[in-house]
Order: sequence, then C-alpha cells, then structure tokens
Amino acid sequence: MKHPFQKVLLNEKGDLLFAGAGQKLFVFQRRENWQLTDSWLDTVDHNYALIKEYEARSRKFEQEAAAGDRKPPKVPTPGPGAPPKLCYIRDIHLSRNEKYLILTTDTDKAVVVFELNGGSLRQIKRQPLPKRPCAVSTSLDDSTVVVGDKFGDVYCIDMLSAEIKDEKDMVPVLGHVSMLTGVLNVSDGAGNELVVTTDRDEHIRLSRFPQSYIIERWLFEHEEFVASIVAPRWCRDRVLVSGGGDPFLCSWHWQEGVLADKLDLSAAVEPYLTEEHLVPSRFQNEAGDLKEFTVSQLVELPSQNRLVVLFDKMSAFLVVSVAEDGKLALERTVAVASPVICGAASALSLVLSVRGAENCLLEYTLESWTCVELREVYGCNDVEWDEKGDLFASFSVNQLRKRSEH
Amino acid sequence: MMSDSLSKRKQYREAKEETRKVLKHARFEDSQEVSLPKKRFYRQRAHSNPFSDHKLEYPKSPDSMDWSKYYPGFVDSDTGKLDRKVEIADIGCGFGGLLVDLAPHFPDSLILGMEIRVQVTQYVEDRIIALRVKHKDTNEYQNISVIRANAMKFLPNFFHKGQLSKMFFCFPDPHFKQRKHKARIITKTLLSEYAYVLREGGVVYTITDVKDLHEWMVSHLDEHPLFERLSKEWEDQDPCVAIMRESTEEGKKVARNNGDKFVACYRRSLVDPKPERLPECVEYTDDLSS
Repeated sequence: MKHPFQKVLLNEKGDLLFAGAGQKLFVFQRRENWQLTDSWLDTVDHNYALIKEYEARSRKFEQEAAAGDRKPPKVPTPGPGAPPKLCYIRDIHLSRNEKYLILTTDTDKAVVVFELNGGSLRQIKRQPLPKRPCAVSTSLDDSTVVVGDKFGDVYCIDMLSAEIKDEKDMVPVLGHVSMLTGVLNVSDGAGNELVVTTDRDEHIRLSRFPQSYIIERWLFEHEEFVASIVAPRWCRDRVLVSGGGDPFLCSWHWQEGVLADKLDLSAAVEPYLTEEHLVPSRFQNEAGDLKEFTVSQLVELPSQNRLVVLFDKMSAFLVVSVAEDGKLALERTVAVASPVICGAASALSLVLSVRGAENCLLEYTLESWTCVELREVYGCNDVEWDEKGDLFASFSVNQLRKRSEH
Repeated sequence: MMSDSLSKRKQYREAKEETRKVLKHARFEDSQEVSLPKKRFYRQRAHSNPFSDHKLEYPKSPDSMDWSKYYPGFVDSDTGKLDRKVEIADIGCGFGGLLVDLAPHFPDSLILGMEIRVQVTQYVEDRIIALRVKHKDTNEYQNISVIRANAMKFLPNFFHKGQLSKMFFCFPDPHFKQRKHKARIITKTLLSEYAYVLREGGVVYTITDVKDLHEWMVSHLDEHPLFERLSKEWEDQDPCVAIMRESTEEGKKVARNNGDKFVACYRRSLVDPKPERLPECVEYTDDLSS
C-alpha cells in the first residue's frame, strides 16, 4: 500500500504544493494540472543516533587503546523484536517571503532549509538538534528559523548561513518543561516582535523576541494540551486562535491577555465520532461509550476570513469564521469520505490528505466546498508502506492527552 | 517485620488523613488535641521526575486559584477571599523546616511551600495544622501553607506576574548525570519563569551542599539578563540567609556531617530593557526587601 501524505502545504498563490510522504518530499507546480517538479528524500540512516553513539565510543576507544586491553565497542544493531522505527518528515514550513522551505526530520532530528526557485529546491543547510523538533516558525524578518522540540526547548537557527553548529553547543533561547506543540512569531503592530509557544500542559506563553527571556504573559483557558495556534492575518495582529484536546476553540486578544471568545465544537462534531474516538478502556466509563475528540490543525483561509478546523481521525471538517474582534462562529460542517490526516490552504483552495487506499488527496473549492481528487498528484507518490502496525496511529495527536494515575 | 511496620505506617497515615480532613479548613475554635506528626511515617524516596504527568491539582490560572482554604486566618469575612496575596515561595520545601522558621519573621506575609512528593507534602500539612492548633491563642503559623505541585511546570498557574518578593531553592535535587541536567530546578530557561513571577527587586535564594550544583546555579543565574548577584555583605546581613542556613532539615543534616553549604542570592533586575505596557499585578503588602 502507498504511504499517504502526512503533511501538505500550499503557497499563498496556490500554484505550489508541497507534500511529505514518509521520508520523501514532493514539490508540485500548478500549470494546467499539478505537475511534479522536484522531490527530496531523507537518506540519513534510521539508526542515526545509535551510529553516532558508536562512532563516539570508537573514537574514545582508539584514543585510549594504548592504555588497556579493553574490547572494541560493538556495532549496535537493533534486535529482531525491536519495534519498527518510524522516520518522517514531520513539518513542512514556508518562510514568510515564500523564498525558503523548511523541513524537520526524524532521523537526525534536523531542520533542513531549502531555497525555492520556482518548483525546484536547493538545500542550504541541515542543522541537527539535540531532541526531536516538533514546531517551526520563522522570525518576522525571515532571518531566523525558530524551532521547538519535544523536550520543551526552543532554538534559533540562522536561516541563511551555511554554518552548522554541533548539537552539543546549541543553547535554547527559551524553554518549557513540557513538549512543545507550537511556535509562532507575531508582531504587536507597534514594531515589537513576540514569540508564542504552546505546550502539552495547556500553556500558551508569550515572550519577547529575540529577548525571549522576558515573558510578557500567559494565556490561560485550555484544560488540555494545545495542538494548534494561528494568528489570523485579517485580525491585524490582535487575535490568536487556539485548539487542541479541549472540545472548544479559544480566541484571544493576546496583547491584553484576555479571552476574546470560546466556541464549543461538541455538537457539530458529535455525528462524526466513531469507535476510533472511544476513550481507552482504562479510562472508560461503565457503559463503555465515552468518546473524545481532538482538534489537530487550524488552517487559515485569508481570502475568506475563516478557519478550517481539522480533527484527529475524523471524516469531516468545520469552517469557522473569525471576526476582526476575535468573535468565532461556526459556518458549516463538511463531511469527507475518509478520515482527514492533514490539510493546507491557499487563496484559492483547500487541500486535504485523507486516509484510504484511494482518494488520498482532495482539493476543495472555497465557496461551494465541493472537491476533486488530485489523482495526478497522488499518482506521483512512490513511497510504499509495508511495515506492520497501525500507520495512522503515528499521525494521531490525541496521544498527547495526559492520563496519569499517580 | 517489614509488612508490620508498613501497615503501622499506613494506619498512622490514615488516622492523620482523617484529622487533616477535619482541621484543614477550620479555625480551631474548640480545643482539639493534635500532636505534631512523626516524620518516620512519611518517608518517601528523595527523587521525583519533574517531567512525568503526575496526577496534580493545579488551578487553570492564578485568578481561579482559591487560596482561602490554605490561609483561613487571612480570609476577609466580607468577600470570603484572602486579604493579601502569597508573596514568598519555598520551591521544593521538603519537610517544611524553612517555612516554620520563616513564619514568625514575616507575620504579615503569606508564605507557600511547594513540594512534588505526596507524602512529604502531607507531613508538612499535618505539621502546619498541629502548629496552628498549638498556637491558636496567638494565631501564629496562619501565614504558612503547603501545596503539592510541580513548580517547574506550573508556577505561572499559581502566581501573577510580579507577585512574589522572595523565592527559596534550598538543597535542590542535584541530578548529577549530564543528561538529567534539564531536570535541575535552576536552569537559564526556567529562570525566565521565576523572573516573571518575581517582582522587580525580588530575591532568589539558593543553597546547596553540592559544589558542582552551586557552580551550575551561579553560572545560569549570572548568564540570565534579569538577575544580579547580591554581595557577600548583603548575604551576611539578610535574616533569611541565616534561617536558610540553619533551619532546613537538609541544612541540619549537612551541619551534623560537617559539610559545606554554598549560598548564592540574586536580585530580579529593577528594570526590564523596555518598560512594561500592561502592568497586571497589584502589590499588597509592605516592602520586604531589607
């Protein structure tokens, strides 16, 4: 079976589509049809960390070999029972000027920066990080990649210089004691830049940038992890909208630190909840019918002043309008043939990657919300999935939910 | 033998749990007999993983925190809320020695101990209840309380910007292994959060008997743009430094073993590089930065 696209991205104009399947990135350009113009494969070994450790040990052994008669270190090989190592391109991000494409990888936990020339890619740098990157932003002037990791630390990487730092020498510019789920650089409209960081512990933190040691404030309302946060452009630097493990979206007047609006999504989503949304048995109720849902992604539709709200493992999406003052209103629910994995939007259309052997990429027109299958795009995907286990489980954000008993 | 002592410990703790339930929120009008808790019934391993998802109770935001049950002696009878805010925090308060000694020195300030280990927190709770009952005529020890919390994760859920005047870090877990260094309570990234909850001019107190850890804390505090080291002279005249050296359980243990104690105190810088546009916190009590 083909590996679905776990991450898609469109440029603003809607004539470039970036899609990641497994460790491969595809670039498509729209002329008459979508045409494949470039691709890039992450060729770093899956056992990068093991190999690196082995190399360090070997070096140490060679240096000390004269001193004693210890055995040389063994080449580490995962045993036959070891779980398959899933390595993906996790994040695909465009710089604000759309001249650079930024990827994050699982193999060497790196940030890879490409220069974009039409539909082709030229790699500028590949900077490995100490821990797996899971959120990316760029500074307002596009000089710096701001990347948050699984350990809660945020690093700044010079986007344009080819210089690579040793991961041991990298110093975080800010840190949470929790996995980061989002990083977003915003302007306050008065010439000041801030960085918004969200984490698995319900926090939304606003720090100055680049003096990120000065925390301006926190935005409190979420009771579960925050999975996605956006600063809708049409709200002119005033509003943030966030969603995640809670059954509601929050919008914020972030400069004042107050909640602007809260939109409960339960009723709209209820008809689309399936067995996949059942709470795990250990936390289930007596009737065994307790379900939960998670907002997995908020996609801006700047031409419409609306957001598309995507959910974990759900065959539907919501369209929510965001007024300039942050008021949220549910506009419509759109049913999809298969559960949605991820999405992206341009001024023209919304592209969704969905599960299933066929119909894996859908393009919606924004006014009528009708869709076509992008067969020519999906046809170019030559990444196969033949591992055992549930492929889709690894894209789930619901597993960020905290369920502790102690 | 082992199971016998275990069950004794369990019985003891269950009995105390009952007393705690009854007394925690009471103002002790009647005379009740409460004995000081015995530490040996509350022993718990010294380390706790600050990254794990403990079942913790913490407020959604500082505004939603109900402090009245922690400091019943300071509840305004008209509003049902506290008449002042917590302004001294002992992070990782352990068995509460510092809290108990600080209480009479700052009778008008609310002091909070934060501790991640359940049983140790319960010991401090029981200790405070017993002290309050014992001193109910003078109303002492109403100004200290303890809460089970992971301060590394949730400090901003408890305190407003600039709310605290003093933060104590006494004999923190040294986390010797290189790869555990992020678990240390003083790191450059966490200091930004401490700087957020501290008022300008507020003080961070650190003490440890581990020289490596002391140097680590000093280097991180030195590097942080919002903290300035206070002089040896300042330390010598500050009453809290003396209390911190002498009163905590760890401090006493180190003294018994003739170990060294390393102290470093830092002041939260007076001015941010740019002035704040939106002051959020009102300050309640008189200035303590002596």
